[in-house]
Amino acid sequence: MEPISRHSGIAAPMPLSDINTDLIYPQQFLRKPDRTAMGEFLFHSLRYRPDGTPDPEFILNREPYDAATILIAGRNFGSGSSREHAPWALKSFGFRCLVSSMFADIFKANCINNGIIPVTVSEDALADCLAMAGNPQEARFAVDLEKRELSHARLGTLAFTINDSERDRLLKGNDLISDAIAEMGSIKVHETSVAQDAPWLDLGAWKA
Amino acid sequence: MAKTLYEKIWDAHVVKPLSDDRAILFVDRHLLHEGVATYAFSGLKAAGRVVHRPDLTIGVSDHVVPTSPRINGIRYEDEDARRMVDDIEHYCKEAGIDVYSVRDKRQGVVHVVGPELGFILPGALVVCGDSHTSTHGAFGALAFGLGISEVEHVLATQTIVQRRSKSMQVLVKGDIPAGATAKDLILSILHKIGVAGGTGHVIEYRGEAVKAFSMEQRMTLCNMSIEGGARAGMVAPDETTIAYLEGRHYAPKGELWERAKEHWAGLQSDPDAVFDKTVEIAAAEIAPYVTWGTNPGQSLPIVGKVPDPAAIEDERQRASVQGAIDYMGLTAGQSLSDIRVDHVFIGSCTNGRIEDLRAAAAIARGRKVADGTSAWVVPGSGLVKEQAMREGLDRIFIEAGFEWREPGCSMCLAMNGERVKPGQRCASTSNRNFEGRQGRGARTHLMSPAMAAAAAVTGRLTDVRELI
Repeated sequence: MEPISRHSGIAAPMPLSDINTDLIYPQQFLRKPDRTAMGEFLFHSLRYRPDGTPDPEFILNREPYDAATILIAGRNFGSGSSREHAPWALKSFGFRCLVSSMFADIFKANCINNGIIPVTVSEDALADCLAMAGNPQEARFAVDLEKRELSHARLGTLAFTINDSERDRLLKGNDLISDAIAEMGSIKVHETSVAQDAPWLDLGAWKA
Repeated sequence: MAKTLYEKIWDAHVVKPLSDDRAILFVDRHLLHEGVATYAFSGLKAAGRVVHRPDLTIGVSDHVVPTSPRINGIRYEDEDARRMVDDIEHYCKEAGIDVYSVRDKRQGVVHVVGPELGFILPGALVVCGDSHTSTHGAFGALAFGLGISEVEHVLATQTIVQRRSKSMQVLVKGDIPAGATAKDLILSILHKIGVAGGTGHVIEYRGEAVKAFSMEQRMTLCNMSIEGGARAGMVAPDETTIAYLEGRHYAPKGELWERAKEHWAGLQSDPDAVFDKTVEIAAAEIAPYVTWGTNPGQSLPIVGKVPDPAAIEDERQRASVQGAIDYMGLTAGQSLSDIRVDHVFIGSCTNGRIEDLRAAAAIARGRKVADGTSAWVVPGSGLVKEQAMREGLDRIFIEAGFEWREPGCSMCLAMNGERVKPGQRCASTSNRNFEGRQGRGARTHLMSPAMAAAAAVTGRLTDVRELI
């Protein structure tokens, strides 16, 4: 995973609350094999009309938002399913930062595993950011993950929240699986204690 | 110190504590389905890694599997779907993982198959690359959904890194009245707490009504915990849990079984354990519920009316309700029981089990699917299908004009190509009524199996109590 510490770019506003992963990446494209090409299907039902032509009204079909790399969205963004296609599609479209007042748990973990910064701000700050981003002339934002700051020419600098561990992981871009494999000694100790104390869980030992 | 059930299971699975209230946790049971296996195994291979504990994972094909008759072969939606099924079969065999795919009569929805095979045990930490993994909390297990990167982590290390959640108890007091079910209870809970009300929490469902539930009902309840944003939902194990598990394929036998039962007896929240949040529900007030909107919290008793946005003060809330009404093609103030349906779907990891089919069949018996309405019954698994046929439920459905189909996720998420057409309205026993969930432009109303069967025979959303 590529480390990320700072990012600036055009922010697209989507004020709707509870935007779920089905809306972000709909079911008919869940079988696509290439995760780096999923941006084409992002927000498909909002972005394209039933005849397949782009809906000129939709925010990501309008300049300058068609080149947005920051998404500012209403509360509880990413609710619903665990489909990692949602962050894959956001990343493939070009998004590197998401700003909201709350993210759904599994979706947030998936974002961090894909190097996308979830920026959590207060409801008031979110309303200000949505309003600013709505003006194409004022849509540029910058994110400094190290300092936990979101900045904008007119709004100034806003503090955002992210756990230390989530921030560190994004900053370092380390591979969690390699880190866990390095703990294989502790894993084996645990496996031995399960075999002794809760052997019914240790399927391989007794299940033919 | 007094602990909740969640805290007890968490503590028993810590391989290594990490900063920020996180830990590397050991995974006792891992369920894989073809929709994630393709990606997870290809990632694992690319990194040159192998499966650490193949004995603790089972693989199931369900998401892309068609539920049309399989007598003359399986007709997949496309080559990508076929490849996903081929992949899970191939990779699982290669790694030594038991796999239940389309040629196995035990194949079905992963969250139906796992419990049915006795793979899910009390006190276990259970994961799957699917948000409805919360289902398995019904066994007093800690069960939650993962993304695909995390599934790869589990395959390679049999562990997962998690941050400790807050605890929440949903206390259901009294008995659920006749005509209402676990589905109605969870829809009413979601109405009360909202779709983000459980975010950051693990829910434990407690109280007389929950205690009186069968395992099937507990699974329905825990299944939809994620719709409230909760990481997991759980019910403490008891005699009902033990009676369900005894003799099942992966359940321990003989002396191991006796030892396990002794251990499980202590698996409950301590009497003085403190929950971060408590929600109380008066069971007597639970009536048959339906959703009218585009998230599972937008639900009301069937005797209610579509809300009027004009009466909502909060501007954003008003816009959200108006948006849902527009998408659903409804009118403010319209009686819910006046809403006509084009299609009925009975099945899914929420309500595709034997009790669900019995409840639906009890309403369908001797009646006919209404003109202009089509209705499907998709058993949750091959074993559910077999049991239902032994009881003659298939005949009841077929005689009433329902389509009796093969097992799979089907129209719950329409990933196998079985969709509701744009603008059409579906009474569904599944778990999500999101825009486009059952197909672009499809309009979903969630409800219990008996309510869905009632909608099928009347052609409109109907209070099932009128038909009992």
